[in-house]
Amino acid sequence: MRRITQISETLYLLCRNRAALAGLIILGIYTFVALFPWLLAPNDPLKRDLALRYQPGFWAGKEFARFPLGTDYLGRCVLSRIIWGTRTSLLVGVIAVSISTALGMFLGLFSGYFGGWVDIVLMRIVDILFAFPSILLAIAIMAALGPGLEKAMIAIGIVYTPQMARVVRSVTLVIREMEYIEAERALGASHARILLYHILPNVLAPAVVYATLSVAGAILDAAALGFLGLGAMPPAPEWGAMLSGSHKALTSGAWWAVTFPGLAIVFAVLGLNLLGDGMRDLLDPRLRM
Amino acid sequence: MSPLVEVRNLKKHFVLSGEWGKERAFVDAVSGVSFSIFQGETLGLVGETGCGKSTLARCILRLLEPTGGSVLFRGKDILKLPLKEFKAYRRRMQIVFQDPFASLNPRKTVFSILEEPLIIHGERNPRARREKVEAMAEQVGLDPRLLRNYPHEFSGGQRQRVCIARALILEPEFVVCDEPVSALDVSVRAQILNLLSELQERMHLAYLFITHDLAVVHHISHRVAVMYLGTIVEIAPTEELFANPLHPYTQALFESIPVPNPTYKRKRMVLEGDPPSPIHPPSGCRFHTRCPKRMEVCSVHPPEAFSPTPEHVVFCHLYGGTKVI
Repeated sequence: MRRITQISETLYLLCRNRAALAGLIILGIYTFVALFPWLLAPNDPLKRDLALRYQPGFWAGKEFARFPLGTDYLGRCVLSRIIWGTRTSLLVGVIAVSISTALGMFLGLFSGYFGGWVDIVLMRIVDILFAFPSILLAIAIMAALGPGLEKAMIAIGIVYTPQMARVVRSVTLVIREMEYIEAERALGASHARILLYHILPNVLAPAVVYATLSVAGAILDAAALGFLGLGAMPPAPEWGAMLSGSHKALTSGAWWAVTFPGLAIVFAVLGLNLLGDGMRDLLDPRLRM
Repeated sequence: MSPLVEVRNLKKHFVLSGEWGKERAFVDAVSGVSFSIFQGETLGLVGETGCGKSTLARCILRLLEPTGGSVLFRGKDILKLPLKEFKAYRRRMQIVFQDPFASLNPRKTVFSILEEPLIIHGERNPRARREKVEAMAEQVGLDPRLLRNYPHEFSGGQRQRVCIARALILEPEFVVCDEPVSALDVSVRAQILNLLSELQERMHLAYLFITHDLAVVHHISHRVAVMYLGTIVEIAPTEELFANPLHPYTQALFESIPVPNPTYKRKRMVLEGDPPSPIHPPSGCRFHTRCPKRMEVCSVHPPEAFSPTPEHVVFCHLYGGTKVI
């Protein structure tokens, strides 16, 4: 019963926070698009027609209304590809970041709380991962795992783990020294109890904010892997792949082939950031007013 | 009557390791402290910042592992117990911290903060827990209707009441109060001190009351121990110590109490300089570098205990030193 009132209270507060509400609405729209692309897409996203390549969209006149946002370098409908790509891109971003968040939280909490040689060993491993450029590291992991979208998610998840681990560890180091943790120890609480009930809730807020921010990066990295032939396989629509596939479009004046997938990413990131910020406020009882 | 808590020659060194584990230095935070506390009694522990008061308290509760010595709780050496067995003793000895803002988790309601000790110590029945929490809240003067609120919604004094309730809900016998009123407004201090005294009488608690505020210590303690740089220099019943301080450091400390009388002339006894670093503490009597009455022997030998009355012990070469404890 108390659970339910808590959830409804949280929803109520979320709706009162305008930025968070905006983020929620944006993500709601994206989710709907990702779930039901066939209801929204005007054309087949895979159908190519070289005679119709780089056609402009609705702004050029009524005769171009068939492809509202124009066509790409193979004459495919940009809008339909964006709509069908939503599912893949969001999934890649969310799953990759879920992996990195889970791993990073585990490493960060453990390392920060216990300190000593555990901390030294784990953080040196993290430093080694940090030393590689992220895309190079992702490629190296992909080389070991083999190509494919699922493997790309895992690779990106691993690449984003060090940052998350660092963020979580630094917060853990601060919380660990608080007197309420010492009070818990004086009460005889176990390490597991202190970590899960006292440190984790305090670490969650910055971790959630950081995770929402890194979803954007993960989408872009997935795009880069796709461009290298390691992520989404070419005909499949995916925002990043659309960006890199149409990189020559800008010089030939077909700005729409690049701009609209880019905007799709921008709004997804904006929605995630707004929601992330709102979540931080919601997760902190001190700011619940 | 045997003491509830007996501290014998307790030592705590912190190791400062240089690069690559070289150049090790020791911070001699607590070096050989002995005293005992009886049931229902308050022992005040006074001393300057950094003299090792809090370290001493944390060692007694095993929040820090002492380097040496022993702590007997009802005759049992709790430092030798494996941590699992020691958990049973945790509920018998508790601590109230200085900063009521840092010692409550901001993400937990007051109810769950007070309920947690009961869960940790195996109270499985939620209704029994609720009743205990509400009863305890009432005992410390918190409105049970406020239990669903978060710590930030309370004032400093109320928060300290929550901290006291958390410490007492397991019905301990011994409570360390680590400067529990230093962070509070003067107007709230008296309330919290009186609450602590009331609870002491009701629950027959023994307090180790750490403070640097001599007025507070005078008000609440039955006996007072004066600490300087990791050692106890003098320990005596409160009235006797305030009437007849023997150690030069105690005398200087009491001279520093402001007297509300503008014509009062101080006996000139102002200590010069800061306390020396506990990394390289002075030889012999640790106070000799600042002592106005130092003699040659002071820098060579640590002073022996001297007892003018059975309960008054002072460590100072001025009084010759006949070992009586």
